[in-house]
Formats: sequence, C-alpha cells, structure tokens
Amino acid sequence: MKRHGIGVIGYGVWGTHSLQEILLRQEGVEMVGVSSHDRWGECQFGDTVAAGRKYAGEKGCAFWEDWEKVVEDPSVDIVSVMTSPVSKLEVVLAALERGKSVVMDKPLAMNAEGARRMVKAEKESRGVGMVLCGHQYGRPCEKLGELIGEGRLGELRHVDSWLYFMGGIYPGFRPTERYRSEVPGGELTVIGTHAIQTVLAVAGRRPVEVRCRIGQRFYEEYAAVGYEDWAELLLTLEGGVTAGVSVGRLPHKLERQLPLLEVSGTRGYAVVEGEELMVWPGEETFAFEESQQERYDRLFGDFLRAVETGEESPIGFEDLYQVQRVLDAGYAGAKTGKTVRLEEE
Amino acid sequence: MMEFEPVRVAVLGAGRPNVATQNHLPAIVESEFLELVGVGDVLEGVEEYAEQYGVKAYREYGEMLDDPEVEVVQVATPDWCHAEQVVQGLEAGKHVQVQKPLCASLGEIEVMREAQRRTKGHLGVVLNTRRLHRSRFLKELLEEGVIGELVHIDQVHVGRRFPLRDFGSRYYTTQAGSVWLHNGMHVLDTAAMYAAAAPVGVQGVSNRNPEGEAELLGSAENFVRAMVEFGNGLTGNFEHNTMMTSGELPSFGFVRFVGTEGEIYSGRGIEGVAVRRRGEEERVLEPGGPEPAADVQASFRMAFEEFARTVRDGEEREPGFELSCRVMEILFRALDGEEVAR
Repeated sequence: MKRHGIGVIGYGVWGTHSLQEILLRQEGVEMVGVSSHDRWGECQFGDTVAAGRKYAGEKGCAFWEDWEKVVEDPSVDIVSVMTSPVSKLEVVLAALERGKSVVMDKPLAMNAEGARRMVKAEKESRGVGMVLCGHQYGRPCEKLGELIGEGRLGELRHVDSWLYFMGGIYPGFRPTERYRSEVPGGELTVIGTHAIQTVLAVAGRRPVEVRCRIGQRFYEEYAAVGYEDWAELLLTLEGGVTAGVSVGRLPHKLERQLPLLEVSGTRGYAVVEGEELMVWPGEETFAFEESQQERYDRLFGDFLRAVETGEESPIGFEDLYQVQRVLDAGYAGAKTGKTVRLEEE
Repeated sequence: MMEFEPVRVAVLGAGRPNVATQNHLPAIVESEFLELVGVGDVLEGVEEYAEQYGVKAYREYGEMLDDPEVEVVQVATPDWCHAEQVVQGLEAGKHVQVQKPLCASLGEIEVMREAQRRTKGHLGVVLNTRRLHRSRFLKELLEEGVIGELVHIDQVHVGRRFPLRDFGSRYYTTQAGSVWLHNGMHVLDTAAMYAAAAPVGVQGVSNRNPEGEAELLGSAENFVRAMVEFGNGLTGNFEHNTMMTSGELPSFGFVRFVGTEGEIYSGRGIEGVAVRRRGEEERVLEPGGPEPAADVQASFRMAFEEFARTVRDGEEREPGFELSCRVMEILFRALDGEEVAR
C-alpha cells in the first residue's frame, strides 16, 4: 500500500470531521501538517491560530500559519481543502499546480467560472480532485443507475429529490455575516449541492433550465445574518427530462423521511428511501446494509486508488461544475422569480 | 329546523353514469336545503334519471334556462363546455355552480368574470375535496397550531389518470388541457384552504410520457410539478404524476405540512396522520370519519348547501369565485412553465 501524506487546510466543523471520520481511517494515510487559509473557523473558534496549533498537537503533526507551506511540502500528496468557498479556488489551483491531489467539501467554487478553472487545472495536473458530495455513491443509487442503464424504467422522464437535514443547526456552528456572504443561497448551497449532484448523476443529463425559490424560515441565528435555510428547484435537463429538488434544514427530526429520490420513466418508476430501492413494475425491493462509514471508506478507497493510478475520480470536478452552473442560475432565478436558461457549452 | 326555503336545483350533464348522476343527484336529494327540480342532457339517458328521481328532463339546455322553477343550474358537463354554459346560465338569470375545473382555457376565466360582473346570479365551483373528512381534520390540526406556524405544503400524487371508454373524447387531447387541469383544481383549492390564502405566483415544469396506451396517457402533459406562492408568504410544492402506464405501477400520494415547530404528514407509508414536533416522539393520529363513499357524498352535499346559503342570503362562502379563478390561472401558468406576477 502506497503512503499518502495528507496536508490539511481548514480544520473547522466539517474539516476535522471529514479528517477524523473518513480520511484518516484509510490505510496508508499519514497526516503531515495543518494550516488555515482564512478566518473560516470563526464560525466555530475564537482564535483560529491557537485552535490550529492545538489540533495539530493532538494529531502529532506540523502547524503552519502560512497555508502555502502545505501545498509546497514535498511529503504532502493529498491536500484536504476544507476552507471557505471564497478561498477554495486559490488553494485548489495552487495544490493542483504543484501536482498534489485534492479532496474537498462541496461546493466546488463560488461560481461556475471558478469551477471551470478548477476543472481545467485538474485536467492539466497529475493530481486528482474529489468533492465530498451527493448520494449517488450509495448502494441504492448505484443500483438505480444500473437499472436505468439497462432500460428497466424505459426512457427517463423525471427525477425528484427531497433532502432535509434534521434536528436544527449543526452543533457548534454559528453563522456569521462573512459566512453568509461566502455561501450564497445558504442551505441551497450546503444541502442543495448534494441533492442536485445526486439528481444529475442519476439522470446522466446536463442542466438546461433552472427555476428556484430560496427562503429563510426557522432560525433566529440564520435570520440575524440573512442566511437561508430552505430552497426548491425545478430543472429542465437535456433530452426533455425534468427534475425537482427540495432541500432544507428542519428544526424537528423525522423518523420517516421523504424519499431521497423518485424516478419516473416511460415504462417504470423507482423510489430510493434510506437504504432501500423499490422498483416498479414488478414491485421489486433492493435492500442494502451499508453504513455511512462503510460508504465513505469505499469512496475514499476508490479515491486513493485513483490518486495512485490516475484513474477517473469517483466524484470529480466536472460533475460539480455542472452543479455549480445550477447553483449560479438558482441564485439569480430566486431573486427575480424567472426561469434561467443556461448557456449552451 | 329548516334554516331557509330549499333552493331549487337542476343538474346539467346528467345523461349517463358520471359525476352528475353518481354524485350530484344523490347529494342533492339527501339535503333538506336543496330541491331537485330537473336534469338535463343531450343524451337520451337523461329521461331515465328524470324518471328515477321524479323530476323533469330537459333535452335542450335552453329548456332548463327557461324554466322559472330552476334557481340554480349545476353544470356538470365535460370540461370544455363549462365556460359557455356558465355564461348562458348567468345571462338567463340563474345562479350557477359549475363542476371543476372552471374551464379549459385561460381566456375563458376572464369571460366568466365578466359575465358574473354584468349579471345578478352567484357563481361558484363545486370543490368538494376541501370538505372531505380528512381535509377538515388536517385543517383543524393546523388551526390548533400543533406544528406552530404553517410555512410550507408539499402534495404529491403518483398514479394513473382516469381511464375513459370513449377514445375519441377530448379529455385525451391537449385542447381539453391535461389531467393536471382536470384534477389540480381540487389540489390547489384545498391547499389554499390550508394556507388560508389565495395562490399568487407559480413556476412549474411539465412533462409527458409519450409511450403507452392513449387511454391511459392522453396526448397532453401527464406530469406537472409546480412551486406555488400564496398571498401570505406560504409556499407549496405540488406534483401530479400520471405518467404511469402499467397496472403494476403504484398509485399513491402524500400531503405534508411544514411548520415552525414540526410537520404533519398524511399519505404513503402510514395509515393515520403523523405529527412530528421538534424534540418530541412522533404521534400518529386516527382521523376517523365516515366510510370513503359516504364521506365523498357528504362532501358534495356540503358544497351544494354552502352555495344554497349564498343564494339565499347573498353572502359568498369559501371558496369564493375569485379564489377559484386565481387557482385556475395558477394551474394554467404552471403548465406553461411561466410565472405570474406576485
């Protein structure tokens, strides 16, 4: 097993979670050093430098105040970019330029232009990029993709996704005005990116038109900085396929959630609920028992293999570029209430 | 104790088994506030229904309109006939209650508005779904504030469209509008009742399964998903999916209310009505109520009686005609994928 040196830029809520729960669990992975690009950690920490030193001490690795040290260090093979969306572009381009691979949280960028530049940089780099995003890597969605490919549902006509994060605001998280300015659309970006990516991956089509509505409904902490907790999208995809996406962060917690995915084809219909896929006609149910941890392990195993072999990333930048185009159109459409038609590429 | 003199009603479109003969007629004769005086249709079958109920048969609509005994005309004819017959009824000095959908084209809404303005009759739409037991049960829960302040409604229907034996029917064609227009008025009217506000804006996508039997799919759109805004800031997301072609495919739906303190869910996956509040265990309530057939019948009767009260005291009841016009406009706009001014 090849050794993978990990350099960390960003150790906030999700940065540390993804490291501890996912990346550092993988065989052959070794943490080299920690840094922070900006004050992203202000949503969680007071003094980000002190917090960074403490975190590096706990992990037994270096702490660099200057984030560029991470991408320059020769023992770093993979950069974990868990910074603010506004600084991702600079960090990712710097890492790829030096041949490092990149693993990052969604969204890919602040806008489609930034995402396009990342896609180009990754193609020109020997490094591989992966974005932690979407549910298409789950077994039910994978199986659904197989069945669609085999024509079990006929021609695809419509895909729906409902994705709600439950139980209120993420523990320890406090949105600031700066955070709000760097995450346009609020939960449309944070949660919606998952749902949009899943829908586009399952449909296998590019977006053509976007209709969007964004709202702020539940939290005083969010309202104080104008951060939105709710969004809905209606999409037209290539080939006349349509899609609906509803996302939000709900204060309450549900025992039964709405289906993650609903797919209608000309000859069949399928629903993904939790770890089950139900398909009609035939009323066949496929039940899976993969935990989220096992799913992440499988995803990162595939990513590390891609880093070693140069194979395609399991969730690559090109996929997230299409999502970013939808987000951009969604931000614009929600302001006007008008349909936004995406430019042909 | 009788509240008022029974309102004398004639039903147009009662020539064969349909909503007029299976729902309107039994509901009218069941009510102490209504008196059935006649049935009309161009079909010969109307004579049998007239005999069965012991009332007059009108083979021409003009005969019904000329009859001074008739106070209210219930128009329960095919969708594309509604607008013209409503206008004729109003112009003849009658009160008119028309089956949903109000009409089959956007332009006809304004024609009916204009007819109502220049005549003295009351005009209403038969919208019984809002009076079904479950609808009223859900409305009461919302009014009790069990989920705090209502902010959003999701409603999804997945299933087959109604099959017709007459393949030449205009119900299969785009001219008559899609199944969204035929059934969506119930959905959006009931949502307006839950929201306690009229819909004021919409964006929608429509789609169509072109493969399969015409009797199931028609030639119009058989899928619509619409994001609707109500006048008080509430939102709704409504999906009507009748792209199903096979008998093996599922038919189900759900309605879900999201409030500031939790949500209410009714439909696929559970028997009762689930109430889920923040920090609390889920409660599943049993709405109870009459058997489905009796519930439907009662809902029609209530819709007719409310209109009869309006005829007697001149006070318009919910849903008013203007709300129904607004609902119809939103349905058309959603189908077009266009938005309306908020």
